[in-house]
Amino acid sequence: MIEFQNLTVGFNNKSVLTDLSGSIKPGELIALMGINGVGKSCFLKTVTGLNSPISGDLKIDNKSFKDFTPLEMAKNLAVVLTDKIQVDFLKVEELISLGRSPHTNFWGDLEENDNQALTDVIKLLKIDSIYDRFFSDLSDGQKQKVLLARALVQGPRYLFLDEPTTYLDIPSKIELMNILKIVSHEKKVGVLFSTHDLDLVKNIVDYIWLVDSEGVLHKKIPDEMAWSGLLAKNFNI
Amino acid sequence: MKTRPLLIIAAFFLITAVLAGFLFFYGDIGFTTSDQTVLWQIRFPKIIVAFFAGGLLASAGLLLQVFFQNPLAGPDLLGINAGACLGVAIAIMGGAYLPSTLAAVSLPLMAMLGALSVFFLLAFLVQKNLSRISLLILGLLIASFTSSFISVLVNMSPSLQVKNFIMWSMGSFQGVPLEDIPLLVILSIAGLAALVFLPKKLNQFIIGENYAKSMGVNVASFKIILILVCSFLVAIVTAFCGPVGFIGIIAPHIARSFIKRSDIRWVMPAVFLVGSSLALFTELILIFTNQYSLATNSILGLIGAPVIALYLYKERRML
Repeated sequence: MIEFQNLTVGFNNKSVLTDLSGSIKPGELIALMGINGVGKSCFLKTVTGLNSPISGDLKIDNKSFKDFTPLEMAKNLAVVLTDKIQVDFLKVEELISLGRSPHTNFWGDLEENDNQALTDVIKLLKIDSIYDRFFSDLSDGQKQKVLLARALVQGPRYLFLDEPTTYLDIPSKIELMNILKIVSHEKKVGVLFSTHDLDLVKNIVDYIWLVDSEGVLHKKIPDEMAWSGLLAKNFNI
Repeated sequence: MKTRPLLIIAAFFLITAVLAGFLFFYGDIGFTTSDQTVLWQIRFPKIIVAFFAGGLLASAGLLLQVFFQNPLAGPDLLGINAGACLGVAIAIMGGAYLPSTLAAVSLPLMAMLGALSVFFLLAFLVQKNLSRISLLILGLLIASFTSSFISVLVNMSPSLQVKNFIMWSMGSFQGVPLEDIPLLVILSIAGLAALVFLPKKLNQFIIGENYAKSMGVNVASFKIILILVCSFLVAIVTAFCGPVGFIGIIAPHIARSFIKRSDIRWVMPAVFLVGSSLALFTELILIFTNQYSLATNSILGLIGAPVIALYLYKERRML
């Protein structure tokens, strides 16, 4: 279980969100919502260990983030970011295989269990037809699936995605949600993703975490969140 | 499908070997196979120097392009070349103004010293989280500072020393005597040994710092290692050959466009061999144009600038 208590996140020592508390358990599917600029990405970067918190506790199974080596963190957490990947001649195969790198030797050789992990994820995401193509030639929906595949082969216990549905068409959004549901509920991975698509997520996720305009984090199941009026207040619905 | 990268690397190796073989038997005085002095005292050192210098510069260029995630980065850009130049300028022209002990220090050592001081500055700033763009601009500032400093030295120096410096600054693979070759080879192999440990992390780094970090790379220390290795490679080459331009920028592009992979484990050897071939190729051109005594850097500029322009044109959507 990932736990955070009295967490203050920000960058360059400037606080963006303060006094955050909560936990993510394996098998949970959580949507993080909030208007643009409220600090969702900043929060995600902190709970994934990419940025250090300004203050507060951040733990995996009661062990502080600080006490993990980068490699141990990589075996627990995987991320799908909004960072653009622009690399000439990057094959889908190469990109996905990189997800195994926390498990491979100094040269990055893939062993049998690495290949097994790759095969499983390719099957789950049905991406064998694009496996041999260049990443830069793919559509946005395909790119997102490949990035998800890279994160999944890392074999994480927790998965974080920053606005994974933003540039996708409706069928791709639904497909991605179904995959995340399988990953969390069947593979028992704790999944947290930020999104603006309320209609898309409300029947699928276990919890909605809403950062309101005052920077307070509300955590409710989707139905309660709808009744509370918080969503209407924060999204001008 | 690993056959294509393997075939391409084999092809580049063959080209390098053929060029080296040809340069061994053919030179300014035509074909020779019997004159041992010419073969071993003149041609052999030149080939070894071009092979290693070209390859190391190309590898340094690849490291820089990954580090800056900028396909136009090259060893000249960080100011490391400039630092080495300043060191040598001081050694050649400032000799009269310095205590005799310092003046006696040889050119390679001063070049190394100049490059090292720039790279320690860079390593310090990277540790302080200076952004990549700022770092590039700093490189340009270092270059303009050193060139101003050098022009002051030029104004104050007798013409013979100025001429010596200008000759050195044109770059050449021919100036290393046979007795210095072992040192060059040892340093180059040390550089190559360092390169062997980088590909996995470079591959992780290539898709972005955040992803690299999320896959367990200690990004801060890896950046310092990259800068140290890169500066070491550039310093070796500049010390022995002068500031050699363009190979570092164009070799990675040529290699990648043939190998059509991004995996550094394939790209790195290909880049090294392309760099070696480019260096050997300029030596070949020098032989055929020997009546004009051209400079290595002008030939590389004539090849390099159009290649970069072509790349910019082809990739205009991406940049």
